[in-house]
Amino acid sequence: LPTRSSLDIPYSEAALAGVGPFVEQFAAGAGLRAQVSYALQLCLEEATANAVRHGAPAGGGSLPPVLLELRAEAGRVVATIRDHGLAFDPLRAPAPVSPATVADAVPGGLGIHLMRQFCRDIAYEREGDTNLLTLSFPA
Amino acid sequence: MIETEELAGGVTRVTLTGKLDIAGANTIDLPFIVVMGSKRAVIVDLSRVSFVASMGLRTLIMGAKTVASKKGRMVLLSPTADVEDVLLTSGTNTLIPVLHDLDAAMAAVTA
Repeated sequence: LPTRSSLDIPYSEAALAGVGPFVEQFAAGAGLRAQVSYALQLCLEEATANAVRHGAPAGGGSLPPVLLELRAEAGRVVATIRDHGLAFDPLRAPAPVSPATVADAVPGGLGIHLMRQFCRDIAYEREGDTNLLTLSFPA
Repeated sequence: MIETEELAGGVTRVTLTGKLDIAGANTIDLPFIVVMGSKRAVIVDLSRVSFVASMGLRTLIMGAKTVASKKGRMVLLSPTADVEDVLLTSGTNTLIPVLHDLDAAMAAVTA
């Protein structure tokens, strides 16, 4: 069974759309339960979308692709997302505000909240010019 | 994929199929909003949706806002357990009612 896999994600919407299928294929190959596969796809789509959509400095510039690595170990799956974009610690992001009615709702802004709820552990480090986000899941 | 069906009492059932991930949400965003713009009593059937993440929630909330702006009503019908978990965790169910029974959904959008 494949227990390690990685994906380069250039800074484009088209590349982001490939994250879900990549993670789903890894989960199927590693024999993960459907619920774990769902949580992995959800968290990694949110994490990589944040990095790609919000991580590039103003004015653009050419950043190397975001690197997503997955590995299945005894009893857990660990995902790392490494990028060279703007420093951003999702653990310090404010909780989303709950609107009173749908008319008050501002679509979006739920990704980090969902990511934190659907993984088992999450850690952020800034190493030099690199954001390193590590998420773990029960296998 | 998106299918619409007119039910009794001016109610429209909109059935979505597949994954509402980034690719899926991008695909249905426009047709979904077009349908929502023309209806006032809408049941969005999620029983064939296998995955929702924040982009899919955004699509649903945009649709609900469109319906609400015309004083209409929209509810979500029969999400799978995994999808419902995301709806509850995100608080989406506090903005758009989530129901599991078609009769109850019909009553909710025509009340």
